[in-house]
Amino acid sequence: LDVNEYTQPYAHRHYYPNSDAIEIPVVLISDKTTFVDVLGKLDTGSSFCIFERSCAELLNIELDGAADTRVRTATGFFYVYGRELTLSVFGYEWTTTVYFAESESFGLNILGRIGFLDHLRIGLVDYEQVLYCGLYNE
Amino acid sequence: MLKTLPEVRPSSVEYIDRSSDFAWLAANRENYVGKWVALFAGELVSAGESAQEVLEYSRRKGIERPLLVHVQDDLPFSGGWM
Repeated sequence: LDVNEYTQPYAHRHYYPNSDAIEIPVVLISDKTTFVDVLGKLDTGSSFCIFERSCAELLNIELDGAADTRVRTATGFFYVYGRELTLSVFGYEWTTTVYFAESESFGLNILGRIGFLDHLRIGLVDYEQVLYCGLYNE
Repeated sequence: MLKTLPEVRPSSVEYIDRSSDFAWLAANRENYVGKWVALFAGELVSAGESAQEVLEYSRRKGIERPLLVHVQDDLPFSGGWM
């Protein structure tokens, strides 16, 4: 059996003590003076980053009219509003489109591929409940 | 296909180490299921039914950037919502 050794440096190490979920602290920034620190669950199977509707209210982001994007799940679908804002994680930030759930019963924040995973290099050792994070150009 | 690297920059807001807030959550989560909690430096700042009230209370106490958490029950999670 040939095994290639592969090492990759990461600038940040994050321990998540909740063994049921990979939870990451993120900051949502809508402008220079309006931001909120929340908890997101890493979900590599999710296409988008989707936040609770109440997060939009904290950021003074209006969610008017009908939600324009439909998201498929394993058992159905739901609607979300897409909005551009700045996402800050572990001292890095980028501007991207994130989504806010139309339903107030959507009670969690999801960090998916587009807008989160596609901006960072991520290493995961779930047995140790540790996530490693770095930039592509580090 | 050649892909361009994502544009990532140093954060404009100060990075806050939330390790102690995560430890508080691990120890106390079950007592606040369904509530919003605001945490800072490993302590509970406020708890309530809405994110807005919890955040406003924290900021009135001078804590501008608490970690806001909508505490979930301990059912296993799947991204297949609904």
